[in-house]
Amino acid sequence: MMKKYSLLSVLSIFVFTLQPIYAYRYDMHLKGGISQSYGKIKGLEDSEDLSHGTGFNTHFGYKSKYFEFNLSSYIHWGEMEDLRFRSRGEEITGEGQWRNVSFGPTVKYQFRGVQPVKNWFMYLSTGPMWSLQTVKFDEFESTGPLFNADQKLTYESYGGSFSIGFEEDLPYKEMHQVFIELNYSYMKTYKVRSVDKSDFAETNILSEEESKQDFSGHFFTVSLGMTIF
Amino acid sequence: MPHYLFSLAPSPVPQSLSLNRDLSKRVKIKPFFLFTLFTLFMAVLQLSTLSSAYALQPSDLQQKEPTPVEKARVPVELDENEKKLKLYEDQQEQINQRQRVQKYQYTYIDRKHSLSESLKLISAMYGVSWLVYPLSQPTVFREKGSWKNYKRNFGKLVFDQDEPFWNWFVHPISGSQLYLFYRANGYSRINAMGMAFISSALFEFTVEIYTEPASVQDLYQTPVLGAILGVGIENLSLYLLQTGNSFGRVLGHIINPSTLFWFYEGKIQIVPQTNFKGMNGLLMTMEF
Repeated sequence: MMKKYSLLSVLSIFVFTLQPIYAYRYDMHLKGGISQSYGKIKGLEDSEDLSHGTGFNTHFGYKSKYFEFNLSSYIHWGEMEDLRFRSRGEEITGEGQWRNVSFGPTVKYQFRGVQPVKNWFMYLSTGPMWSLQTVKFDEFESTGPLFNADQKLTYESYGGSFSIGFEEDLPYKEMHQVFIELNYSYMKTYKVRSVDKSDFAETNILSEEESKQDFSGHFFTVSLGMTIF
Repeated sequence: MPHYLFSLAPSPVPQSLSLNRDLSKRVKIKPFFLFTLFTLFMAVLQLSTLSSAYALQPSDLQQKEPTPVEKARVPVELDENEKKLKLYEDQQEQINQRQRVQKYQYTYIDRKHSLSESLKLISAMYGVSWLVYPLSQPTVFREKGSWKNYKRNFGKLVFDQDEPFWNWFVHPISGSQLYLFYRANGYSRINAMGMAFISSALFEFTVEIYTEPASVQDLYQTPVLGAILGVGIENLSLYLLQTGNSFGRVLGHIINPSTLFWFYEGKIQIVPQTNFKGMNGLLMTMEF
């Protein structure tokens, strides 16, 4: 009996959201804005750091009646300290600049009927993500002679993201709908590289290894943006 | 008055004479004095011009009777040829006045394109990229490029390790010019970005692999960040091109070179037209 009512409730909520829509649809778009990211990065031997970074986000995609398919990207610059990494058999501890660029296809469902504020609808979005995180140490300690100040570490990671957001419900995309979004993503490293950055024009990969270390991160990102065109 | 009072040259009079020492001091002061006088004169002249220009005279309120000469100048009735001649003379007079005559208006006009037209443009850009890549990075092309690399990199997609300068500055700038090229060819903003996406992907997967594998960052950021930057450049260049002065036009063309070429479709000429029977209008001519 409970199951029947639950199903009925879910169905009712779904039908409730299927309101007639007046916003633009069946069209390509480019959205973009600024982001602030907060992350908890886990390094070697449970070393942890709360990183934070500022940057921007872009979403290029297609909007259908209720769904939206995007290629999304987030870029953040920030700082981290007291994290321990391993590269070419050396353990490196230090602090410095942290940079993150992530890409991924996302699918978004628009709850047109859920409008907490007039002309603002809610949406949920999810998709896989791939990212490249770069760490440039300002100060560091290394257990071996190989790592030096002219090098940077890069981590290739994959994971997933989930977003909840609100977007303006306006008839034409030329009206530049604004959106605000809270995004959570979990990333796990699969490849670590040590890169020589002494030559600005040409980077030279010194070592590349499959990551066996448990280097991962939880990231929360607040984004504010608009439909650019 | 002695001659040396007005001379700027050193005085030939012996310095032992006290009178001459005093005079030499006066000679030094003279250019400044003259300059001050000249400035004052110009200021008075300017003030008098302004007052005559803006002060309403009592005589202005009275309707003046035309002089015989003025009467002779105004024809009672003009035929068609005389009207055209007078219009031409008025136009010439206007041109000769101290004002800039803006021949063209600059804008972007979106239109639909056939598949063959789009393919032609993509092919053209593809050809250009094969020319530009070795020319822009000759050292990398010579030292790292080979057909063996091409074969090895074909179909490979990686995260590049380049510095932010390249990924977030150089690539978006080249992407913006790609976007502006398609905008100049009459594509809407979103379609221009789509075309830039295709051109960029072709470059990444079939040209750049001569030296290095295709990069995820370049593939996405070149057209997307390029389009965002392109919108800014587009607006700024149009603003500069519409200023009507040479400096603005040159700067507008420098930041948006596509507006200089034959394929730019937004160059519009607006010419006033009349049939001399009370019907007036504007003739808009655009090249495409």
